[in-house]
Parts: sequence; C-alpha cells; structure tokens
Amino acid sequence: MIERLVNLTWVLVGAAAAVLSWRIGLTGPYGPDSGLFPFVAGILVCLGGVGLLLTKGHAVNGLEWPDRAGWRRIGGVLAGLAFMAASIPYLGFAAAGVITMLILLRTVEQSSWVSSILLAVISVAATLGLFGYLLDLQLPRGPWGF
Amino acid sequence: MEAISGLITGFGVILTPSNIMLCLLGSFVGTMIGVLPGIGPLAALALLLPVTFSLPPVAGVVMLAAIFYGAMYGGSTTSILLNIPGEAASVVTCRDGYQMARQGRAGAALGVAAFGSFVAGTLSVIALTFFAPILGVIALRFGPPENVALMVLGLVCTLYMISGSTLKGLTMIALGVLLAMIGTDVVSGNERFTFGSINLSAGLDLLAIVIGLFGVSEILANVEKISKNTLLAEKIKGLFPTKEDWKASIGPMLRGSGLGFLLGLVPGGGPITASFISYAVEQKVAKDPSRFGKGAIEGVAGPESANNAAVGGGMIPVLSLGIPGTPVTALLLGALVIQGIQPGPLFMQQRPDLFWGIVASMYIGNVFLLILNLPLVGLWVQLLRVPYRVLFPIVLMLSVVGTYSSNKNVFDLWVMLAFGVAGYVLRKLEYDLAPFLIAFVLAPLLEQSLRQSLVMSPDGIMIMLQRPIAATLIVISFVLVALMIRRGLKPRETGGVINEVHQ
Repeated sequence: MIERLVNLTWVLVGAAAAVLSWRIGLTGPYGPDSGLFPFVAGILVCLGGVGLLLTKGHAVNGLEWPDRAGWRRIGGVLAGLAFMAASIPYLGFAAAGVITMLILLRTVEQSSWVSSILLAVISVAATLGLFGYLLDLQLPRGPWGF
Repeated sequence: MEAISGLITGFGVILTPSNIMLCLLGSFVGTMIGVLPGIGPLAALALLLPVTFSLPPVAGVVMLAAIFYGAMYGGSTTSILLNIPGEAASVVTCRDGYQMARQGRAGAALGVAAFGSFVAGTLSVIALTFFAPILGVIALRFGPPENVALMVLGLVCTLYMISGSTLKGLTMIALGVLLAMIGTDVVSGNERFTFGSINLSAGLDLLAIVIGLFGVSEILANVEKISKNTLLAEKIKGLFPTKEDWKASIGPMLRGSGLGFLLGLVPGGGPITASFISYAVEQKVAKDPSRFGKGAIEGVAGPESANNAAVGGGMIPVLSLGIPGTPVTALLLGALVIQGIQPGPLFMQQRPDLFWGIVASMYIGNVFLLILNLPLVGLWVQLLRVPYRVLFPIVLMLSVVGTYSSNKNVFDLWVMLAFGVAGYVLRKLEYDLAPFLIAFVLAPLLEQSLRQSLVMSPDGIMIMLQRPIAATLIVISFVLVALMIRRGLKPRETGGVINEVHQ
C-alpha cells in the first residue's frame, strides 16, 4: 500500500515538475534554458514511478513496520524535532533544547523525571558550550538572554 | 618528485598544533562512532559536519577525513565483541572475529584488525601520494566540455553503486537532479520551483538534506527497535599479535591492501565490496578453507585490511576528479562543497595546501588510530555499555544545531525533518539513498558546465566529441552503460556471505 503511494508520488511529482519546467522554457538562444534540466529530471522521475507501479519485481518482500512501542518512539522523536523547529525562534536554543530533550526522554524512553532533567540540562549545556562558545556559532537566544 | 614535494607541502600544512589536535580529535570521535552500533560513518559524517564549519577549510577537511577513517577502524570492535558490525564494511569481520572472541582470543582479533587496518591504511596512502599527481597533470587540460563529460561519467558510475532495485536507484538519481534544480538559476536568474518562497530561492540546503536523509532517518530506524546486546569480552588481553598470528596474517593483510586499494578506485567498489571479496579470496587461497567461519585469523586480517585500503583508494577519484565512488565519499564531496571547495580536476593545482594537507593527515591519522585502537581498547569496550537511549537525544541535539548553524534559518530544520521522514520510509522500501545525494551534488555543476560549453561551441553539443579528453570520457560512459545493460541492469552484489552474517 505505502509502496504504491510512494510510486504514485513519483509519478505526480515528476509530471508536475515537467509541466512547470516546460512553462519556464526549455531552450534559449545558446542552448538549454532554465527549464531543460528539471524537465528531463521530472520526466525521468515520472517514468521511474510508472515503471515501479507497473512492475512487481521491485516491490519489497515482507516489509516490516515497527510495533506499537516502536511507533511511539518514532512519533516521540518526530514530535520532539518538530517542537524544537517551531519553538527555537521564540524560546531560543537552550530552552527549546531542554524541553525537547525532556519530551524525548520522558515519552520515548520513559526515563524518570530526575534523570530526564539531569540529562537534558547537561547535554544542552554541553552542546551550547561546544558550539556556542568553543566554536563560536551564533545560536538563537530566547527572551531571557540565553 | 612532484609527489614528494607535494607531500612536504602537506606536512608543512598539517604539522601545526591545532591541525594535529583536530586530526587526533577526528580520529578519536570517528573511532568512537565506529564503535557504537547504529551510527555508521555516513551518519557520523553527516552529524558532525557542522562542527567543522567554524574551522578553516584545511582544518575542517582534515577533521572530517579523520572522522571517516576513524569510523572505518572502529567498526571492527563491535563486530568482534558483539557480533554487530559498527559499519557495513565490518559485516564480514563478524564471522571469524566473533568466533575468535568466543574462543577467548578477542585481543588477538582486535590486534590483528588494528594492525591490518594500519598496514593497509598506510600502504593505500602511499599509493594515493604517487597516483594522484598523474591525474593532476591530465586535469590541467580540463575545460567546461571535459567537466560535462566527467560529470556524466560520475552519474554513470553512480549506476554501479546502486544496491537493491536499479529502477529505484535510477529514480533516486533523477529525483536528486530535480531537487537540485530548486532555487534561482544562476545563469538566467529565473526562479525554479520556489513558489514565491524566499526560503527556497537559494535552493534546498545540502546539509539539511544530508543530516535528515542519513542522520535523522538512521536514528528513526534505530529507535524503532532498541535491543540490549551482550558484550562478550570483559577484559581484553593479548592485543599484540603473536609470531604465529603475524605469520598467518601478513599475507592476507598485503593481499587485502592491494585488493582494497584497487576496488576503492572503482566506482561502486568501496570498502564493503573490498571486505567481502578479500574474505572470498582468503577462503580460496587457504589450505584449509573449512576453518573460515570458526575463528580463522585470516578472515579478520584480510577484510579489515581491504576495507581500510579502500578508503585510501576511494579518495583518489573524489579528490582528483570530483567523482565519489561510495556513499561516504559522496558525503565527503558534499562537505567540501559546503566548505566552498570544489574537488575536481583543478583541485590539486588550485588548492595544493588542502589536497596535500589531507594526504599528509592520513599518514598521521593512521598512526593515531593505531595508538587509539590498541591501548584504548578498554575505553571502547566501556563505551559499548552506554545505552542507545541515552545517546540518541544527544545526537538529535547535534543534528538540530548542525542544520541550523549552516544558514541560521529555522526553515532548514523543517527540511531536515522532512528528509528524515522521507529517508526512513525510503530505507524501509529498500531505496538506495546515496545515488540521490551524488546526483544532488553533481547536477548543478553539470548544468552549468553544459551551458558554458554550448556558449563556447559553434557546433553545439558536438564540442563534446571534438575534444579528446571529453570524447574519451563520453566513450567510457557509453561503454559503462552498455556493460550495465548487458548484465541486465542488475544491482551490485556483495556476496552471499552477507546474508549468512545477518542471520
């Protein structure tokens, strides 16, 4: 099911890219214009998708997906990352990082509160120390100045 | 002579306290990551790429190279002690290395793996030193048409790298080209697939893609099933091989070195193939092949030497021609591009300090790695006891900082997340992601060079056949495609032993 969906995505993405590239223009006075390369690539992606949809030999045999606990951990990682991406501009790296780590450790690993807080604070402090101070990278700061 | 003077230049560049420290640090971190099951060299390079951003190019690349070959060295430790390969090229080491450990000879197995890696690593760097200038001389004659032919050859070579379904691999190549086209066309100024978004006008960030596709997706695959491993050896003894061990191992080490170096040169060869072929060769030449799989020291010495020699061999096409032969060298190529360096025909002439600095650092790095792998083996054993659930949040934090630090743009974090999910799903569906990355890196250069070639040519595309080097490269590309078609577009095969080891 998911494999067919992915193959269909290739067909649609490839076809859409080819149409958009055609509109940009394929050739100019000196040869290829901006649209040629993406047009060819789009057509190839589309053909690849069609080929994968039509042939069975390329499908994965016995595709294994995670169990319920596995999905919970994967969901936790993705939720943590999404929270971090969304909150960094408002909370700054340090606060967003600590909260994300807490989400990961509590929901994904179900660690105790004490060990989660300790590990979250230590690892974010170490990351800040390495990148922010030693390597002098400008990490976003929150309204409280860190 | 050019090689010697170049190497002296390289040592002049590398022999500064800061560069030596970075080489040592890279070797240490690389070994550490190679030791940890679940984080291979590819993910390690992707995740640690941002650490090198604030460093000068020479220092940054030296550190990255050290991480790479450090990870290759470290991969054998888990194979021997846990029967779990730290990276794919160490899969075959599990077979006899783990059996040796079960027989109480973990020290000998680790020692032979470390010495074999050192011998092979050093021999392959010596070969790299003398082989690269020859390519450098030819490279001076390169213009846009030759670059086009070279990029075409690079993409064709990617066909040989594909593992799994060839059609899926080809789709990945096309998708890589397509996504590389997002952003403003530098020649005409036209916007392509930006949909009015400022975030997309500069294109998708290579680092965000790399970290998402290879780093985040690997973490997702690892957290899916967290299992506890049984560490076999409590205390490692007898790391220095005995006279008998040396006698049995020296032949496999030398054969593995030669084989690994040659296979490293070939696109699609690389450390994984080298280790499997070396194992097969050792089994073939052994007086008693039935010992293999039951703790034969040759089964550790040969493949470990071969996979490390392939690293040196693989550096030649990527540094001299800008053609990566393996996923890891593709990532290394991407790292150089991010650092503002374009590896390729003129790299050695334009940046001799960097080129020879990398080569010199590999000599020093090999010595560091031998030191790190033998006396510090106890530390690596302790590291194997750190649970993955403690490691992965820290690794995720590094991914976020790394991705953000590239452009200071939160949008890149969303790109990383999207590619992480896509990478996870595509891995499940057995797509090979490396061809995507190679196409993504090579496509803009190919497009630009092709357009430059056509502007300078009164005969249009025929310019590709009017210049000897370009024509030769195009002919080679056609021959490679023809050979691929002749073998029925079948994917790369690594040998039946891989399934046995997995089982």
